[in-house]
Amino acid sequence: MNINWQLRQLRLKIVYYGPAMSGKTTNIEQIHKRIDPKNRSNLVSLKTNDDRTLYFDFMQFELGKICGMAPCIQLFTVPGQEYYKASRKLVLRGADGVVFVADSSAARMNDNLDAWLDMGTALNEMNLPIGKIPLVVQYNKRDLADAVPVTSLHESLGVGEFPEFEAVAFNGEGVFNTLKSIINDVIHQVQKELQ
Amino acid sequence: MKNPMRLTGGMSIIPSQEELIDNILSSQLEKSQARLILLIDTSGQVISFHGERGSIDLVALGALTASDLAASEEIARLTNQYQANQMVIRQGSKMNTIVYDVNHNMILLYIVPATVPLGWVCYLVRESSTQIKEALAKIQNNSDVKLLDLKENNLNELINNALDQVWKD
Repeated sequence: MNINWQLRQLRLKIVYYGPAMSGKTTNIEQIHKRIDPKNRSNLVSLKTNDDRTLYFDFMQFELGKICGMAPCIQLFTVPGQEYYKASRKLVLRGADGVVFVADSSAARMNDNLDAWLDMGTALNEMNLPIGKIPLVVQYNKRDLADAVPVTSLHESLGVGEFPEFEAVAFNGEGVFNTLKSIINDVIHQVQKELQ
Repeated sequence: MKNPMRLTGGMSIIPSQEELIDNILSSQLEKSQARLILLIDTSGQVISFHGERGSIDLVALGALTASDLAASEEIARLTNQYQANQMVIRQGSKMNTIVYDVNHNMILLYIVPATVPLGWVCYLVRESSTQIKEALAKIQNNSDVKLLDLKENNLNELINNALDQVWKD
């Protein structure tokens, strides 16, 4: 969080986390596509030759005045591949909120769990254990033939009481609701922190 | 959620601090002949910019600079070379780029013509870092912390309305 009192701007960082190819970049691309260009930055993507995220994807957008302040939201994704673990931790630094994007495919259950545990470890190392930072879970690719029931995903990850959303990010379904939820949680958290 | 949550303890800069920082960077721009000087926080959010903006995308530049330093610091850690106030120097044929960790909360980026001696620029980067830290310590940040003091129901509505306004289906 960064507050510029001169500009009355509140800047917040939200990180999309999850296993490789679960749809983190797709979420950001959809958000970029659907936010009015006059309110958003360009989309910055550091990708490998085979179009996988190497370091992060990034965009920023501004909301209108809320309580006299103009919230400015920065969205980052982490690289999902196992060997980019060190980069993931770096992207998580300074995050005010996290969206965990799980892949609904039955074949990816273990990958989801690995990524969830990896995220927990990284947050712990930053003194921000799960439960202490706003977190929203998105079950993506609900259109897959082998999609696991949401209750199974919920149980296998141990999601608990965090807000959850079903999504087909490829066509934008569930993307906005997820974004709305994490921004609401983060701004509420800011409000609590500042009081 | 039952447990209280917390944010990552970011930064808050009040106008008088910002004015001091602007004065420091403005003077540094002249001394170093830099093309640009950028001050960001560790998440890449831009605090101050001086120099020729041209067509530079400042938002992207901030995010990439923060990531650049974070990656360099991590390389240093992995190879047991980490030291506080790390400086990353990138020498080019026309321009040199210096990225410097001010105080674990802020990062300075200088882009300076290669004709300016690199040692002099490094000295100035360190000098500006010290001046910024002193300036921030000098002025108490007692900003009005009640800026978001609204009833929760109303806040939800305001956030959702603001999001609806920027979203195109």
